Amino acid sequence: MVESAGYSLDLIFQALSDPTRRAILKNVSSRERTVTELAKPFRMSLAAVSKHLKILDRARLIHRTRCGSFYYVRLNPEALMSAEQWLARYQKFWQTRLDSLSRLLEKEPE
Amino acid sequence: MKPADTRLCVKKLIKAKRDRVFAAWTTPDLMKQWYAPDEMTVPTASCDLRVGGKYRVEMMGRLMGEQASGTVTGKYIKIIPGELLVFTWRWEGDPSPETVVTVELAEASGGTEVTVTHDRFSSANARNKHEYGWTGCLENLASYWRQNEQRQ
Repeated sequence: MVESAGYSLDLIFQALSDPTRRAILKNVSSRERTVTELAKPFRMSLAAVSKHLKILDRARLIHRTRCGSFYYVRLNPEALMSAEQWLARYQKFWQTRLDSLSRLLEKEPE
Repeated sequence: MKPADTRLCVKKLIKAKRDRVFAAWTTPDLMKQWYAPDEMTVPTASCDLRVGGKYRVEMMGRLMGEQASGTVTGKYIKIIPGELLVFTWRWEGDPSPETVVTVELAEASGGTEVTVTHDRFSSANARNKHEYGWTGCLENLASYWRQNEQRQ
């Protein structure tokens, strides 16, 4: 119930736990961006941004492609979906568990 | 459901007193009767109800039409009889870090309101750090992508 479609949910949730990385993801969700573009709003060195990108890449939340000397970054939405699926699955698990708990307790006399 | 969160929350009003609901969560013979989903059963359950004590619930049978089995295990982090139960959650044989389940029982008219929160982050530290600024992010991205997909 933990891994989903080849994505490591732990890496995904870890990557998403940082506000800078979440902001980066938001930026690349609308369109492909270069690393320089991504660094701009954060007043951060390219090296620092690259570190964040590495973590996002490891979780497979982004795709990185190289074109000449430019790196382009775009969102891999499938990875986000797998994080959603974890929540949906446990949501259903606990909902049905509480249903059966209530059946059990409500049929028994006090 | 808020897909933006790393935690999910489920509530239900159960027509029974808080002590009975608490007992159903912490008595192996009772746990066996409701813990397993779908067409699964619980052949063995154990529970050492003290902070740091372990519980273990084995589940076997059919899940969504397919043969399945799994054992969930963890340790109790916080126990207030009749009110609160916090424990870690891990599937045996799964290398992923454990998650945390919080069960809150509140008196309500007609019975007990049970709130189950299942959290991706197991350490208190990580939880505090991630508490804020989460909601909306993942949700927005996912819905953005869905709209995009539909357009294409």
